[in-house]
Amino acid sequence: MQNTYFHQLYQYSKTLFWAVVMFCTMTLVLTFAGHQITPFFLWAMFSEKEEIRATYEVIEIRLNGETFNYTQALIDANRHIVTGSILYYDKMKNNTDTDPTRTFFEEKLGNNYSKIKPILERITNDKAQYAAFEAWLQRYLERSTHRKIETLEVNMQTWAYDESGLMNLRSTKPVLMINDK
Amino acid sequence: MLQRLAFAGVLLSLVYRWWAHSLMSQLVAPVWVYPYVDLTYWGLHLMNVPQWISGHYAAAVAFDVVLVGAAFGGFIFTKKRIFPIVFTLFYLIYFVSYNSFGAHHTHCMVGVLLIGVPFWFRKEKTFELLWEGLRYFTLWVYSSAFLWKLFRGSLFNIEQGVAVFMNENATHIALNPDAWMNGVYAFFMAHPTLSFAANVGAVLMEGLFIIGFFTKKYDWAWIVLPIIFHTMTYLFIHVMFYELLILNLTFWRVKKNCKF
Repeated sequence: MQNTYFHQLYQYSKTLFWAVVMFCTMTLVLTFAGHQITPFFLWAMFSEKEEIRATYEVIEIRLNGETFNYTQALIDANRHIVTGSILYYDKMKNNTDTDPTRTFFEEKLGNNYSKIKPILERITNDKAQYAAFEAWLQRYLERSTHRKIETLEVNMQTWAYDESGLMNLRSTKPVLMINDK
Repeated sequence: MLQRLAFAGVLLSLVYRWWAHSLMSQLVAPVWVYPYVDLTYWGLHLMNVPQWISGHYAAAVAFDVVLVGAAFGGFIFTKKRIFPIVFTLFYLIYFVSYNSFGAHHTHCMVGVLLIGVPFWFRKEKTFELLWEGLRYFTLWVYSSAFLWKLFRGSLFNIEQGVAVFMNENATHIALNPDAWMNGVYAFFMAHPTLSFAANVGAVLMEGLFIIGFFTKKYDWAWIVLPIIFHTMTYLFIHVMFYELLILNLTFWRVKKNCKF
């Protein structure tokens, strides 16, 4: 018992001991609550049961009329920014241009939503940000690819696997389009 | 010295992020914010910190200079506490900003965020205890990932392996129909039992980290296993978590001021 980490901490410094205990407690409590507040992280990736789906959505980006293979042209850290923000744009578009985070809290809190609404409106996306997204994406892709982009087209494609493990395109839905030509 | 090793890892991560056009000044004033339900994100966004820095190019450049400078200072001037402190505080802002602008709260940067904290303190004993605390934190990262999968039942889901393969590889197969790895993915998709076994194997690999809470005898294994684990997840499902490997240093039992 005397060799345990917490015992050593307690013997050495009560302040340090309580700081570490607090960190562990917060991490455990939030893990059980399934809620993350940085730096108390949840490590639940890929823990939900997944099922084989009939179709899968793939973002298609076309730059200057050509398909942009962002799996090769971008590296993970900027691909994350590009695809993550496009997916969120698409979610907002499908949510009548309303930030899905606002809808999430509205559904979760019901009548109490009005209490946090003013705060939430300051830290979520409004119509102005929604409108500015397309120009930002063009700017960021120009920077990432080192070339001038005159036309930018983003589509959400639906693909299905065939028996040999290859994919077949089923449908394409336009997400956004910029034409500076 | 250990601090030099840790900040060499940090600098490597920052070079990777610079190469990926992902440092604050390279994000060209993003418009999206995504604090979701994380109160730390709420706080920083309410103070307008990520939006203001990224929205003013000169401020964003200055921010990057301080961030990289503090990491560099941490690497060179190992006696100065100010560099690890400044680095951690600036990296926290960067961490929140990057994840918020990308509308996804990724965990791969957590190691870089926390690795500097033990170096905030001058006393050797304080450092040692916090470094050991970070060792337990690293064990928690992998073992809690195992427990989530165990208690949510995905570990026992016979479809899990194939479903993860199909979901995570869809974009790569669609955009690279002729890639040689597609044959490997197709093989696993055609053999659900093998995919299930591969998934169980990966999850059990995470579960092994629980042993580390009770003994330090196998600490070498916790250095090797994450390298194998993250290489496998990168090759087979395109999940890039190499930055987290900086936490492997916590299994290296050395004194802060030892010389290599």
